[in-house]
Amino acid sequence: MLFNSLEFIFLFLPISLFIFFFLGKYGYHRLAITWLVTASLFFYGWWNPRYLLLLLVSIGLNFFIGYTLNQLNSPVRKKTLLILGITANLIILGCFKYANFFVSSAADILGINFNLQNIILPLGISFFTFQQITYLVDSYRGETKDSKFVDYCLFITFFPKLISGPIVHHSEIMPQFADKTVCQFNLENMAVGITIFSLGLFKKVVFADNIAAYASPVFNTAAAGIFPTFLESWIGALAYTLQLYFDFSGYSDMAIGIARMFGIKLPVNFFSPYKATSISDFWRRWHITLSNFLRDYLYIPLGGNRKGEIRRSLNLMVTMLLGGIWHGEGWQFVFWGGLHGAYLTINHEWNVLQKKYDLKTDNWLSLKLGWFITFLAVVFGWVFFRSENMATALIIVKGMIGLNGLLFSTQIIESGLKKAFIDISILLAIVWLTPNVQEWMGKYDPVFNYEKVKKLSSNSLFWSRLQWQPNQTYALVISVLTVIALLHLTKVSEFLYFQF
Amino acid sequence: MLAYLKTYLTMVSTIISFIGVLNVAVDPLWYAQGNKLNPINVPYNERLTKTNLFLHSDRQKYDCLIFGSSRVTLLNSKALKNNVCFNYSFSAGTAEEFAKYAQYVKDKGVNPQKIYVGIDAYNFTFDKKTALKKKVEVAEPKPAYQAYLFSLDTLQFSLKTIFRLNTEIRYYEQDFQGKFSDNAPKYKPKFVDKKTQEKCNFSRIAYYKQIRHIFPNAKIIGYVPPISVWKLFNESYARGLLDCELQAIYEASKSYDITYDFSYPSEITTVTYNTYDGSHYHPDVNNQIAQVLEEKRSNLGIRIHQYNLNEYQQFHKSKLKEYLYKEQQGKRL
Repeated sequence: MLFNSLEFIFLFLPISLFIFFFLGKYGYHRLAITWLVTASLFFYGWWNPRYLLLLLVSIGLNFFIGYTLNQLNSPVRKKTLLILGITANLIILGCFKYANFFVSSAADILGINFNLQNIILPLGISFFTFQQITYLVDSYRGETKDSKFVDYCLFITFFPKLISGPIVHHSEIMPQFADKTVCQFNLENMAVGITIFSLGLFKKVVFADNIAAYASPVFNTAAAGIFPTFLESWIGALAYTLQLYFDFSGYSDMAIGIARMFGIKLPVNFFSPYKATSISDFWRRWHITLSNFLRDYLYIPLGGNRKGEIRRSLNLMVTMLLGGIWHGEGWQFVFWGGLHGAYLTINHEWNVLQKKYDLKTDNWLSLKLGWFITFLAVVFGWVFFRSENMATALIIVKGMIGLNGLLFSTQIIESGLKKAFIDISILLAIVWLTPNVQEWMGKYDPVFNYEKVKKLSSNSLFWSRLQWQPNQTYALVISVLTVIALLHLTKVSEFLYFQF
Repeated sequence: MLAYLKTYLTMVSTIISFIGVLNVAVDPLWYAQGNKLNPINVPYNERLTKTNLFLHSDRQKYDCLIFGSSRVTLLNSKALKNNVCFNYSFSAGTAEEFAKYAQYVKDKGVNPQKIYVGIDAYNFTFDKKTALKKKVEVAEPKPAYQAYLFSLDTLQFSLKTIFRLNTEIRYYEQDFQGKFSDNAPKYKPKFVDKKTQEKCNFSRIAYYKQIRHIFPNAKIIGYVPPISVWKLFNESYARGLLDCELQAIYEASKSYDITYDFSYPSEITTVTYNTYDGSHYHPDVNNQIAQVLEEKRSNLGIRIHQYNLNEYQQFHKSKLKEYLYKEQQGKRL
């Protein structure tokens, strides 16, 4: 079921909320939690009931391993079981996600013609697999001793974040489920939740889906072997840059808003990433929960920055390459991950140089230059991320550096240069100059770890005065935005991150 | 917080309900029997609207179907008095679409005795708009709750209809019969000087024949709608296409029981007051055509198969020649 579908908004969500709070009102906290698990499984099964079994088996297996890890005393046995558990999860993920890629790559190398029947990727498998790995590691560390099976089920399946995150840590969400007041209806949670959900819906269906009309033709044309010009390539790349941000951050806002209606605060996933002034800053703001996961469960266990500069660079590269592969099968994802690994390494080396020579880079000009270079680097990376394969990406990159000619041809982007320019400019102004949803909602602690990310905020007094408040003016503004978003629902489109 | 939620929910439900009611009242996509505010149904998406009309009517009553382009939409199905006809023609309709829609209608349980098929010469000379569609899908309507309440497109169509912002000259009346707008421009044609030698593409002939395979027992009557002499000269003769277009029409109509041609220079196609663009003829003209199609009149149009191909081509050319000489335009030949 999609968050941006009528069935979800007008049937599934209200019914789920009503029964949850109805049970809560009469003191049935455990029953309310069980109801949420049931609703979440229904939500998942709506897409394809066959994969519900896979999800349930995965949950059962991981809970059992986690439980056993908590019981074992022998460090060797614990470590062996942990490795087995993680391997089992990765094998399941690998079979569904990368089998086609490995087989076709091997066939290419060996020069043979062999294809697997296309394996359908179960929805959200990358997300729920990662989440279960975190649980196993936390169990190994002895941090999950009091887990109950139903709570664990909800930790994995809680429908707002089941399909595309945010990836939550056990310690972030389990105490919230355990709190008996969670199923008591709360006006503030409902008002804040509805508002965040509406803003996310608007970002997805109005901004992301409309700007996609400029990105898709350029990438599709390039995939067909036609060379887009300089202007067309930049329009395609910038439009996709905006589409991906509004799509995924819109989805995350919807997830955060829905969870908040249920009284649960999810962690923040996006915090104005295109305002970042360095690539490290970008990764502190983009898909934050995945970045944190990769940092805590991969980069730091690999040694992080504790073993010298060369080893740090290597660890960064390995982490980003695996992060790239996690996003999908295909060499373009490997390249994208490697590219960001290289970006981060350069960024760290630059920081070292700054310290060594005491370079002042906190002035206005340096910050703006840093922001500009970061943005260009990110846009360049997204070209590979979006392209069907490396050949397509290289066609667009050639276009972006002017090797395919400069002129604008109206055949690729039907609505023409002027409209594309205006639409892209408006959305760029929004991402660069206005606060993000979390900042708008800042007075009401919109997310689990808001205090942590708040320091990234750079908004002026003007914007802070316009923060959301539960007054009539905002009620009118948000209701109009909601209506506009609802009127776009007939063009239901899937979220980009569903494919990962 | 309570006041905020109350205002928010009231506003959203009020605006959405208002839009829903407006969309249902104007019904631009013909889900609920069309416009209830005024007698105008604008053809926004005729493939979809006609499908809606078809699906929401008593389908079993139809013993006759009409397929064709926008020229055929002006043929009043009620003027065909011998049968109960459903006019499934739509703007820029092409042969592959007629075959697809014929199959769709059959799948829905309709078994017509008679089928009228408009044959337009543009089917055999492709441009971007009429390019052969390799994969044709029937415009299946979405569930009404999606189309009405939450569609910005539908709202735009409704507002355009209410405020008469549509630029369509052709529209449908309350009973879904095609009409001309009172503001239809006067047709002011000119002959072009340009002469080229282009070629026809015969691949659509197979789709006309496919209709016969879909309904083997129906009486199929083809007809070439009227085209003004200026358009005939400019778009067919001057481009060297007239002979091959006529050949394609002749071939396409071979599997039909009868095929009429109204496109040669005649008293209908050599005047300008009965059309706004040389392709779309006034419903009065189409009523006369309906009489011919039902064999109640014989002084209009020709039956293609009373000629062989060469005679058919010669007939057209001689009529064109005759007209041009009469108008002192013979040098154009």
